This record gives sequence, structure tokens and C-alpha cells, in this order.
Amino acid sequence: MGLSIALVFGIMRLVNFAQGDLVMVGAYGSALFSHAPWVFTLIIVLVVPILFALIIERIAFRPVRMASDSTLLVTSFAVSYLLESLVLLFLSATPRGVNLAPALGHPFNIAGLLIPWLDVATVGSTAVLLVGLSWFLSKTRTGVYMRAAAEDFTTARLMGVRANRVIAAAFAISGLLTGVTAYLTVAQTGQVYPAMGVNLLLVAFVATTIGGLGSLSGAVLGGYILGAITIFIRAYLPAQLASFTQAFTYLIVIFILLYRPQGLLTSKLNRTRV
Amino acid sequence: MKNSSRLAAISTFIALTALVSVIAFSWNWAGPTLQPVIAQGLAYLIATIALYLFVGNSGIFSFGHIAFMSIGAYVAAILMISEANKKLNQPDLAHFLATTQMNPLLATLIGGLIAAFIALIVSLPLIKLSGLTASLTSLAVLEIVHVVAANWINLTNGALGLTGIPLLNNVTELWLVAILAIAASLGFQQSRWGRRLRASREDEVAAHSLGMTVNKDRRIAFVISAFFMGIAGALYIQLLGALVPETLYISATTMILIMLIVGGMTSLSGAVVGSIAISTISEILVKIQDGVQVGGIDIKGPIGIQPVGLALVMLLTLIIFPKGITRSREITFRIRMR
Repeated sequence: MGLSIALVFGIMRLVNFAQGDLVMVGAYGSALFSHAPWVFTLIIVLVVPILFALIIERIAFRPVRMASDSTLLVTSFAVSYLLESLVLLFLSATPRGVNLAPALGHPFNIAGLLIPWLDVATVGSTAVLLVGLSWFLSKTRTGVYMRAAAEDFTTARLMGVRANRVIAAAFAISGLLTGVTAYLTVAQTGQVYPAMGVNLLLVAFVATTIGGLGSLSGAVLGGYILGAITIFIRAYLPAQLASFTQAFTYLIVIFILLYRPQGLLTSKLNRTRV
Repeated sequence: MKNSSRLAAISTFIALTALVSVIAFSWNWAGPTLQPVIAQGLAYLIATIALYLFVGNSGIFSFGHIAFMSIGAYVAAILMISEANKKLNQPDLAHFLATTQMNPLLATLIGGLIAAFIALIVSLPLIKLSGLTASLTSLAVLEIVHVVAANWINLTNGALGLTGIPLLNNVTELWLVAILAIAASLGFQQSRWGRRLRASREDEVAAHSLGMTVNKDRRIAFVISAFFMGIAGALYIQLLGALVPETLYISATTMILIMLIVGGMTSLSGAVVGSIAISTISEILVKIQDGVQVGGIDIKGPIGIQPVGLALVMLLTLIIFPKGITRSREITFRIRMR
């Protein structure tokens, strides 16, 4: 999730609020086809967000591409709200239970440790995605275009990079990453509901912000730091304050940002020179 | 030059005050179904003006402003709920809070002041952040306030919320506060701080090179904005009579953002016109959702058409009028000087 935000941000300087709702859309895709064979469901979950990402890019973001950062931010906010309301309109607000891939729920045994397959799948797919994405960005033509566009969009266009194609590709990849997030989230929580995107998004945003907006490895690092802080607080906070975990987590995040306003790993293009 | 800009500001003030007054006075003739709509619309109007005061002038988008509305609402509610009601809902409330019951007006004012004070504290770290990072961090602030409101059971009664908040039975206070907010907003815009802040909004690097350090100006805007947010929250719950943590959270945030965006982010007239337009559209959609008769024809839309309609309005506005329906200009007219 954080990865996909970082990717789109790097190229378009766009913080995409709709990303969370793509997860939600993908998750609903899985809910509607949950009785199909699991390979089919997996394909649906991966393809649906990609399609939506491309549609959104074409309809909503292309007309405002040259606008300022905050206009883009707000546009994505509008898209996110639209997607969520559409789900409310056509499906309903009540959460649906989904039992996705029950096989992943079983634990397996390594030297006396019981580890659910799902956790292995989560860690494994994060690693695969990270490696795959790095390979894609450094070795393929589109990937190089993408990095060029992230560095300096205008110059990249002058050098013959096709703007529409690169941005569409970035959105498609972010759709794919979101699809994976959707699959793993639904498998873990077993529930889909319209507001699920927003909740996930908040976590992902915070993770990318502390990691450094626009930096891929920063996004992963940010995600792990956020997780570590949460667990640390949960372990050391007195029991009667346990329900405030989230508040303390965000407080710490704000303090991290106080000392590293640009995030921990900063991409160079992101700094405003004064 | 300076004189003419002041005159323009005065004419804007007159135009917007007239607009708001017409709406406030129409409350007197409205039926019992329309009255709460007008009153809540006015509360949102105040909140949108307050949001504009910070966002419009500084150019930094804040998704967390509803947090201050929530703080104002909780403070005011706790101060004005009657002693008997508190014993029922919040048996563990600190003694001095349990025994005070203030005049709603005073409670509202204190709500605004505390919201402003918390904004001052929050601004100390947040002001160092720039642009998008600041926008995202403001979400974290909203989240913190929400978690505290939902879990500080002794004070806020958690998810069960507070009831028995004295109700407002007229819109005079809302009307006066709306005019005050318009005046404060225009005054700020005309002031040295406001002008510096707007300069930094257009081009931060250029503003820095001219020797402007805008952190202080940003903080001033943030605190004034939070003050009016708090007041708006305190008045808003006096229309509802009850308060739960979700009353002022994501959906309220969405609402005031839509209002400001549709109206036009960088002008006060945009904030005012936008919030009136959206309140109207939203109410029409709710009516359609519930089913209405127009000229003998039954119109009934499916449930959920209201948010979809609002989202479409916002998206279309962004694509067709990126600066909002007022094109971010102020409503002015010429005042003749003899």
C-alpha cells in the first residue's frame, strides 16, 4: 500500500486519497466472487483495482494534471468519496464476511513455532513486490521512463517520454499493488465494508510520510516503523490507557516528523530549495 | 491604492453579510422541517469560513480542522449540560465539572477558546512541516482527537456520547457568529499577516527571498481559524442536542471540504457561496432520497444518492471550474466616494 502511494507520488506529486478506496473496491470484488475457485478470485482482486485505477486516471486526473499539488490532492479526495458513496448506493453499508483462502489460515510448524501461512504470504509478497518493482524501475524501458518522469517531468517529456503512457502505467502498477493489499487484508480480517479503504489509507499515509514521500524504500521502512511503534506502545502502555494506543502512535509520528520534516529517507527532488 | 482595496473589502463584507442575513431571517418564515436545515447550514457556513481562513490564506490543505470543531463541541457540551444529566451519563466526571452548569453562551465561548489554545499547542510542531506533509499530518491530529473522544470515558462518555445538551431555539447566535467570522476573515485578509501569508501561498520561495518568514503568520491564521471552528462546533451540537465522537469526524470533514472546494478555495465569497450552494443541493438530494412530489409526479431516488450527488458535484467542479464556482474572486461592488 505504502509502495503504491510512493510510486504515484513520485511521478505526479500526487497523494492519492482514492488508493484506499481501490483496496475497498478490490475487496468487494473478492466478496462478490468468493465462491469461485481461489485462482479466479485472486485474478479478480488483482484486475479490478487496475481497471479502476486506469479509469480514474483517465476521467479525473488527466484534466487536472497541470494543476497545483493541492488541487490534485483534493481531486483524489473527491474520487475517493465518489467511490465510497457508489458502493454505499449499489451495495450496502453493512460489513460482509468473506472467507478468503481458508488454506492460508492454517499454521505450520517450524521448530515448535506456529506460524500461519498468511503471515508468510504477507511477508513473501511484500518482498516479491519490492524486488519486482525495483527490477521493473531499473531494467525495463517503461520503468526508466517512469523514473525520468519522477525526476523532472517537463524535461522527460521533451526527451520523448510519453506522458500519458507513463502515468497510466504508474496508475496500473499502483492498482496491482493495491489489489495485493486488498487480497491480504480481506484474507486477514475476513470482512469488507465501504469505509475500510479510509482506515487503511490513514495508516499507509502516515507510513509513507515518515518514510519520506516519494521514496520507495522509505515507504517500506515507514510501514515497519509504524508497526514497531504500535507494538512497542501496546506492550509498555499501562492497561487502562490501552485504548489510546493509536493516539500515542500518531503523537510519536508527529514528533518524528518534527525532527525529520521531510521523512526519514528523502528523495532529492522532493526538497524545496530556499 | 490601499484605500480602494479597503473599500473593496467593505463592499464584500456588506454583500456577504446581506446574503447571510437573508438566509438567517428566512428561518423565521420557514416551516418546522426546513428550520433545522437552515440552522445547521449556518453552523456549517461558520465552519467553512473558519477553514477558509487558514486554508485559503496559507494554501496548506488541512484535513484535520474538524478536530477543533469537535474539541469546541465537547468542551461546550460538558460545561452546559445540567447537573442531573451529568450524574446519569458521566458518573465519574471530576467534581468541579460535574457541579458546574454554565450559560450556553459562555460555554460556547470557552469551547472556542480552548479549541484555539489547543490549536496553538498543535501548531508548535506542525508549523515546521510544509505543504503535503502538513496536510497529511493534520489527518493524524483528527485521528488523535477522535481516539481521545472515543476512549476518555470519564470525560466524554466514549462511544455512547453526551445527551441533554440545551437546544438553541433561534438562529440569532449563529447569524451573529457568521457575521463575526466574515468580518474576522476579511480583516485578516487585509492585515499585514494575511497579505504575507497569501504571498507565501502563491510562491513560498519568492516570499522567503523577500525576507518574509511566514511561520508566525501561519500560526495566527491557524489559531483564529480553530477558534471559529470551536465556536461552530459548540453551536452545532446545540442544534442536535447530543454528541458522539462520530458527529464531528470524517463525514463532517468531507462536507466542509466540499463546500470550500466547490465555492472556491482562495476567496471568502467562495467559502460562503459554496457552503450555501452545497447545503441546498444536499437538502434537495435528501428530499429526493426520501421521495417528494413535484407537480404531481413522485420522485424517489435510491438511498445513498445524496453522497454520490455531492461527490459528483465536487469532481465536476474541480474539472470544469478548478477555482470554484466563484472563480475565487470576491463579490464586490463599487462604493462611490464623494
